[in-house]
Amino acid sequence: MSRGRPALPPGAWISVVVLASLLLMALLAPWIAPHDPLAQDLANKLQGPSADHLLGTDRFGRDVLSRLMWGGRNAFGGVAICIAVAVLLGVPWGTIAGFWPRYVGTVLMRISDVMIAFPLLVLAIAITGSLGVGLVTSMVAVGLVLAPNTAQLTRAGVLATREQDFVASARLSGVWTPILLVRHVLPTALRPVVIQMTIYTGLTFVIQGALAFLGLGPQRPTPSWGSDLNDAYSQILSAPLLILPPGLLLGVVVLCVYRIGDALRDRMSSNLSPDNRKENDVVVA
Amino acid sequence: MQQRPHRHGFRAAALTAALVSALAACGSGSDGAGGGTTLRTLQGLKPSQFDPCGPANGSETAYLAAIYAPLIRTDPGTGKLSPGIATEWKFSDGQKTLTLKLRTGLKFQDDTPLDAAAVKKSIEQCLALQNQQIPGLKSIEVQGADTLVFQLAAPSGGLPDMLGSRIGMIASPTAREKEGDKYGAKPAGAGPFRLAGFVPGASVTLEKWAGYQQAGLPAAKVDRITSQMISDPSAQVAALTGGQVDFAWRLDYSAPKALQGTDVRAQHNLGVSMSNLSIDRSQGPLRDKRVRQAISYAIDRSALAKANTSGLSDVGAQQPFPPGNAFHFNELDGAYPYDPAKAKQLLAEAGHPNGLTLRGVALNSPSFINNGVVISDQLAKVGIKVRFEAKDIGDATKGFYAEHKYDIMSSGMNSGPDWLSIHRRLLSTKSSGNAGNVPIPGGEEAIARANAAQGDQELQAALKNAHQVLQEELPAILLYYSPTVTAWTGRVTGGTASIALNGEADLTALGLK
Repeated sequence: MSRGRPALPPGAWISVVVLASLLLMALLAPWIAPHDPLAQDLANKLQGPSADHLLGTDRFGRDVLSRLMWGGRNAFGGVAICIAVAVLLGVPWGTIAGFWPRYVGTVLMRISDVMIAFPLLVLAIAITGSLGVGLVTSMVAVGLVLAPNTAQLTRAGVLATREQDFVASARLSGVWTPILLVRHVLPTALRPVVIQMTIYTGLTFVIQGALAFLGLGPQRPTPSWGSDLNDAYSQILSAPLLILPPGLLLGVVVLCVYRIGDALRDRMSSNLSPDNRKENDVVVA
Repeated sequence: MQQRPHRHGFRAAALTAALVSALAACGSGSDGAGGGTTLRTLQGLKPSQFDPCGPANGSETAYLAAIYAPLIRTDPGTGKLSPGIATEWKFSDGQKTLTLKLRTGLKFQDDTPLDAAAVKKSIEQCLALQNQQIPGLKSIEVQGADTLVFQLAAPSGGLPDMLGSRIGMIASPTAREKEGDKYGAKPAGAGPFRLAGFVPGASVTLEKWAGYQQAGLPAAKVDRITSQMISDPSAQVAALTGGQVDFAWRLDYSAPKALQGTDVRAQHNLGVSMSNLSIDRSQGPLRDKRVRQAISYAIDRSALAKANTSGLSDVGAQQPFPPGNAFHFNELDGAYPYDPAKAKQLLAEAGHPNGLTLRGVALNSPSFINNGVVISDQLAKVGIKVRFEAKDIGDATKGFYAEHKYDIMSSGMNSGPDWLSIHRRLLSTKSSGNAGNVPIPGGEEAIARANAAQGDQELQAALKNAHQVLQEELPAILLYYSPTVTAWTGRVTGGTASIALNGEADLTALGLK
């Protein structure tokens, strides 16, 4: 009997295809977008779908589809920045705290406790305000806010792994500590972190949209799903359907990311013993 | 044992009935918590304080005009001056001395007597706060309890109009002294209403002041006015159509269309509020008048107005006052038609044949940001690249006026009804609206000519000249007159009369059937 990993369910495959398509559309936007996302046509504003504008036009007569395609570049790019900051800061933070838990770890975890005590979005807005408004700054701010959670999860994984026999034998055989961490501890300890990152990815799409909606993301007229949703919302009494394209798109992307995260968790959990599975349960921040 | 649930059920039903009754009473509007009639209003902007001499953001004006008796009253609908605390006023010494005769027996809401000495002290306190100024003022003299004399260094025919504006809203000097920095939250005027409650960003409550004596404003027609601050367009419409409010002003531009077919009457007017581009002439390419003129030719004002007012207006602005105003001159409307070719030609003459890049900032409010979006697209067509960063008013004005980090700012101004203040702001060298305090050729002379004008005809000619200087030099590029949207239900009386020239509501005109 083979003890292979379970196949990805159809829902996860569909999510992968949808996300990959959206990512591809965003990357190829300069070549495949039907219109310039900034080109205004004030005489044809708030138009419904037509052959020329498949998703209609916004309050400035700009093509909604083209703006969504271009906005994807900011959305995916911003999420990548955020996750990179959370991982690059949170993983070393948690690794040090988990491997040397007594004094250094205690101090590092108290710092993370303090940061986690603040509501996520409020802290992100405060940091964005101090760094300056923009896509990169707002996403760095969210990454900074997610880093303590990442650190705590990493620490839990490292604490459990450092007691394993294979780590003890590597240590006794004189493996240099950084090598020990990178080659022996982290590959096992980071499994829950990988799953958590998929959840953070979905969460970051939502937060990014929220920050842009509040005017803290890419500045107008740069295409952005959040600010386009805000523009559409401001016209809700005149053109109520305009909120659907950016709103639905954000919803679909988040659902797809979470679906993939679920599948990833199932797949990784199948390789763990029941005890480890419990230790590696992921907690949504 | 089995009856208990029934007893609980009865208690719950009784409690629910009591709550429903209480909530119904709260929502009825005619009988507020303190009894009497309550007019429930909403406005789309958020006031932060109620001192006419404090930092102004414009949204507090309607409340100030109900709390404070004016020294001279400016009619909200026509801009004409009429008696307030002062019953008469006259110039002498070639418009360098203004003498006002005051009513006697008046009091402030904190019981301080309102006489000439109190008015003098109040105005001096106001000037000391440095948000308001009276140009050329040498002294204010008190002659008895009812006579006040303004001595001026130069003719200032615009002073009565200025005294009919914010600086003429007389605050109790005792209250201002007592409250210090907190006066803005605890105001005391001599108007028909007093401030009874203020939750920043959420609500304002005014109550009828029983001690009001005639001082230019009509007596209160309701016992209480509550006001909610709601900026969300759909929530504004829902509050009006759902019966939560009786009267609303400064509504979103989409409201008139959304209120069509309902019982709520909506009206939009071209007010004296204006969108404009402030220009920093102290540095960069905008020192050259031709570049400023090129920008003015490159903007399609009519399309801009239509796009950013939900179609309520397509009237571009090329002079401070809108059509229909006594100081609007039709013959000046054609100074800058939309002419991209002319704009390119001027740019080439100024040494920018391949265009140029400007640094822009927009005040962080949807209308100014959206103006920036449209303008950056229109300017791109003549080769001017500019992107407007959205900044809160403090950061934007600091960056623009003090640090000169930007060349151009998308903002707005309220042109009235005090002509002297607006022309000083636009044309004087020392104006806070003049980035870098760069002299405007002909600007000071134009203001002096208007101040020295004798009679309406001379004043008209002087102001026309001032507008021509403005159009030639372009210290600011005017864009369009911002419409104001007001709406009210059938319960309200005085709705139409309450719409002031400046887009604010004259709350003293409102009553309930």
